[in-house]
Amino acid sequence: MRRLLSICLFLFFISNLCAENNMLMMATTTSTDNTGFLDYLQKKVEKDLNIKLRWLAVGTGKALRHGENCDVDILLVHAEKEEKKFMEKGYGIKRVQFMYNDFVLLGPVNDPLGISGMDIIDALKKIFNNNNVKFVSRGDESGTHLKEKELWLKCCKKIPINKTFYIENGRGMMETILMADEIEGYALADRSTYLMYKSKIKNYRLKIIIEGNELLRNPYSVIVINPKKCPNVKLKNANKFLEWLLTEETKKYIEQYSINGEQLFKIIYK
Amino acid sequence: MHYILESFYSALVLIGKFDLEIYEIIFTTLHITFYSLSYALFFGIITAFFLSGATGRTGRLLKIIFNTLLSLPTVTIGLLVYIFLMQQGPFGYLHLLFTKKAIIIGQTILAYPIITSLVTSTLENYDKRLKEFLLTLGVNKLVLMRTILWEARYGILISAITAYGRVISEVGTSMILGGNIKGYTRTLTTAISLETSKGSFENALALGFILLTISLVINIGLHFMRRQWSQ
Repeated sequence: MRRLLSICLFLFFISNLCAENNMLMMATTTSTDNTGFLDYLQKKVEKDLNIKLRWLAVGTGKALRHGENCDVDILLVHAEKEEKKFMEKGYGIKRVQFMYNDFVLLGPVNDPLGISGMDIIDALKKIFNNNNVKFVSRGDESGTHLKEKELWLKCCKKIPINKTFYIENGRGMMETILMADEIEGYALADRSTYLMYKSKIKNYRLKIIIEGNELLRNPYSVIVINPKKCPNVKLKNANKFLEWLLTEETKKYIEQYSINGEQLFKIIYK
Repeated sequence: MHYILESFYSALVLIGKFDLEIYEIIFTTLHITFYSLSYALFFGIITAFFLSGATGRTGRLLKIIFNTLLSLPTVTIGLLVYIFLMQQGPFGYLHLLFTKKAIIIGQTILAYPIITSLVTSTLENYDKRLKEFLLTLGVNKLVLMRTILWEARYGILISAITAYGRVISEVGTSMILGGNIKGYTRTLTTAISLETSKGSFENALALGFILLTISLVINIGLHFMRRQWSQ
């Protein structure tokens, strides 16, 4: 009896050590996770491919780092420049931009600076030159933060660190929106998290001030990790997943995802 | 191994560079820790005095409650205080959210039950015999309290060290109530979690080493204080 028990225990520990063959580990940004998009995608992946999709939802900076450290098989990120650097360093073998959503500038409903509907660059200039209304920045090297820095450089030639209106809070997208809501300031956010915020918070006090500018486009890429750098990467599953992602059926499925009737991601057709 | 050495090195570099930002973070951390510990010690010792004297059913119940509060998750404390301080909450008009004061409030709530519980059990050990003895000498209440406090100083010190450890290492309360604002409410732990989320693991570890070093210095200081006392 005792021997049987110990054999069972042994098998139990061994079974834990064996890696699951049909797993696919992804590092991705918080926006895809917070919005429930990945849960939605996972359902279909498991049905169609019999692959168990698991993910780490972190900022784009950290997601790329996980890729370099061989913690994951595949990345789903949104920061073009950093992605290109990542590819140049040889950490990825394939990179496909396949869908996008957009960034929006959020602000208090009464829009104290009167910048609603303006061009994004002019609006940022106005924010840059004011001392009363705060601007909350992610400050965490995430895709959204990188975009925001890019926009500051375009409008005002420098990033307003050390300016009194500029608050770097170094947290996730939702926390940043909530802080902007709390102190009645402006913030750059991705649309999907804003929709999530709107559907979760009862008396929300932020509205979209500026949207629909070409500069505010937010393309997402899938990157397959290079097996030469990371021998343990599940290349077969990763390729299978990528192929599946680019089929017409999956594209349609992605475009059907919505929160409160608003579509979240659009496909890039080339 | 490589990582650890590298981060140790970058910790030294960070300190050696006299980077203003890092000193600001250290100062903020110490400032918040000092005030929250002081408040918690003040209220905790007073509460412990009452609790150690309470022997009835209510006393036992209160002790159980305080021991339960020891396991309050820091995030829960943060959220509770957040709800009270947010603009739509009852104390929103004070505009305390995302300030150092907000973190101090949260961390005081965190440290208070620790100090109360530990000091109560120390006082319970001294209380009876010493109290009776002193009362037979006919001292007044203030002297009585002072003598008992002095006798219980080791216990109080231990409670302070324990509470200090929990307060300086917690991240949930500081994150939610302070908001990790650069140059204002960023503490060592929130900076560590930010660096981690950026993917700069060496910097995160380096900050961890700095935090440990600070604690080492403080504990060495306390050690000598204790030695002084016992002589």
